[in-house]
Amino acid sequence: MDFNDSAEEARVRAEARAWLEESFPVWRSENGDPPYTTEQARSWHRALAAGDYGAPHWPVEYGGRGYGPVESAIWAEEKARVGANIVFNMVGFGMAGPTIIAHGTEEQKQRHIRAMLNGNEIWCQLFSEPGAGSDLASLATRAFRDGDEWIVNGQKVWSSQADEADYGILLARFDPDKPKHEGLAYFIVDMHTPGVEVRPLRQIDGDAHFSEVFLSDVRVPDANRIGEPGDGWRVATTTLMHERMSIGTSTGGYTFPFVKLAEIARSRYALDPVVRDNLARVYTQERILDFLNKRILSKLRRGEIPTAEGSILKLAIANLSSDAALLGVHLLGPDGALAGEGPQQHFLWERSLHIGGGTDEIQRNVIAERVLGLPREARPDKGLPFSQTRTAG
Amino acid sequence: MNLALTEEQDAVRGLARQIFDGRLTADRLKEIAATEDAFDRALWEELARANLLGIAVSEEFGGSGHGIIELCLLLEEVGRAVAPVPAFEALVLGALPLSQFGTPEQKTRYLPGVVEGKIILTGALPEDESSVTARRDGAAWVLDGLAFGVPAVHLASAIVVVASNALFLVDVASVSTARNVVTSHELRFDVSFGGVSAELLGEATAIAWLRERGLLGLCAMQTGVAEKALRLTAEYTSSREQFGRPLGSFQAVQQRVADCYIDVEAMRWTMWQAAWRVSEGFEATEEVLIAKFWASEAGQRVLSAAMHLHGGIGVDVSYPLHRYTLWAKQIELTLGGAAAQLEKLGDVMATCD
Repeated sequence: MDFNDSAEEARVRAEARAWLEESFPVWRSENGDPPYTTEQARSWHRALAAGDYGAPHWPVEYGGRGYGPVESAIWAEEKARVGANIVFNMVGFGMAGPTIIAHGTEEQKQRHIRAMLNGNEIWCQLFSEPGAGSDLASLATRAFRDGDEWIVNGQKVWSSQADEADYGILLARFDPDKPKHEGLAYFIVDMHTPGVEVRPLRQIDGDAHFSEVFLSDVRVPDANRIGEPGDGWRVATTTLMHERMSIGTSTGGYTFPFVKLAEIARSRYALDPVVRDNLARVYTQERILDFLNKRILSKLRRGEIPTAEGSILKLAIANLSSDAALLGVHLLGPDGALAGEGPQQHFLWERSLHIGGGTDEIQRNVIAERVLGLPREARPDKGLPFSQTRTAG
Repeated sequence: MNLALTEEQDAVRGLARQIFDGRLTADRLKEIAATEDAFDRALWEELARANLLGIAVSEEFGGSGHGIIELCLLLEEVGRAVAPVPAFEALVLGALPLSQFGTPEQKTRYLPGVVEGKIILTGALPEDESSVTARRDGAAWVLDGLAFGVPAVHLASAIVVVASNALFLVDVASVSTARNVVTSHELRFDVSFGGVSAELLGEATAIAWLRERGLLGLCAMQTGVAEKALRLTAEYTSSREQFGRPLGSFQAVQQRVADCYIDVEAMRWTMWQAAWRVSEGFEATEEVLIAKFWASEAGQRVLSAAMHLHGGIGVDVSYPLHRYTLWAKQIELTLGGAAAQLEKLGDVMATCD
């Protein structure tokens, strides 16, 4: 049992730190403090790409450094350390890119991988629908074959950054008479195609991170299909696995930082024992997150597949973010009611962490059924053609 | 970074589990609980034969010379089996400080006997201040006062005692005791040191050293207790049927069991993080407090849920779960519960950046 960096991990860390300490201050001096616009994030990404750090977790042949999960986590830690963890094209680098690399055609790789790396493409995900959230495989967006093209109709929702995206990864149903998981196909959609309409959703925190996307007779070339028509779910599984991983290795940004929480507490309450207790409680949660991350990485490093850890990690991040934000607002007293960048902002944002990427309840079901072996709940639509399920009706 | 156990550590765990699973049937536990000593001597001897009692004792005295990680692995199995043996008392409270601070003569007097299972040690380690005082009498030390709730005194030859601000070793034959029974049906003793002579083991730093390891040992046992209670609950709710299907297929049940799993994992990994730091000789005050906080609070949560999900059978003494509940409560309350750990953690955070 060893929580320290190995010699190779220490080398990766030292190299990353040296590069960041030289490069980030230069960029920072021209761009100032966060928050950054998309164009600023793009320019930092291009600086990263120039240093071969554009997508270090991708294979070397696709412009990455072939970093495994541990190296990627070290890289993320080092970026966070200097404040250089600026999100750009998260869906592209974390989900679409790895999916194309794993399942795409050579032509698709040629077209998109280098363009993403150079910062020329932003991607979004077209998976969730008004009627298909936790039960994603029940999605109803239809794709009809028409010669060398597919005609797509339907409505997607909760698409991050869709209003700025150049391309989307789309899951659509091509055969409603197959059981729900088997009738899906996976496509790359040019977001500038006629019939694609993006309507940003204004959230409770004032931001518009997500959009609704309406697809009306959108023509998608068959050459943009990833995998065989019946393979949509299998390909999507790759995407979703990478989504969970990218949440796991970038925990920093989700939570109101403990250090700031402690600062507020110190400046306002000095040694109040109740405040201290609450602070200590949140601190233990933060540390657990750190241990969990290490455990997942250690498993991946040994070539084992983490099963429940991803679910636990996601629940732990959501809970910590809620508790830290609520405590922060509480510590601010009346000031906590003022709109602002502090814990108030996190308080308005944290609810979404309990929902996106699989709700708290879905994560708990995964743990109960797959790890503890509890009997699966009866699924009334199991094995039924999609067209005969209640969702379709 | 590699958090896997070594092959040798895996073997230690496997061996301990095999011994406990082989011997401690539900009937055997019931039988031992009904005896005066509530001590499974045959099991203790088997642990000695497997050299598990010497796991953290140096080879010079017949042990296998491993460290705190291997000892925690053993204690996790003790908790998992709710084994009626004084492993925590003898190996953590007794043998560890003797090994670390004892003179060669003191070690020779006790450690080989501990390894062979012939000598049992225990410790009177208070949560905070000790109510036992020490004074010098020429070259010797004399102790006065009372230590409360000391375990395994009826089995032990010697007690490691915190008195005034130092650590001492006292022969059990020289003290007088009053016997109490705690909720887990185990015995605890109020030990009266009426001017008994004592041997000095270490100064104040030795107390902190021992408390850190004591807390860690409790966390390891609690992890085993909670883990097994959770497994029992998963098995029970998977097989018991109501409304024509297993209870465990209801989401209300699944969600609660999943929360228990998360708690157990949090207990496990806070414990290993602390154990690793202690074994490497790093500063571990904070990590140990975090581990005991989770062991106490989450342990309680897991056992409450386990009892609840078992319905009536949870309180039936013919079913093993009640023992886990009782152990979890004792471990939670020993050396400070969740609130006490949070308070200390708050102190640590207030004094550093």
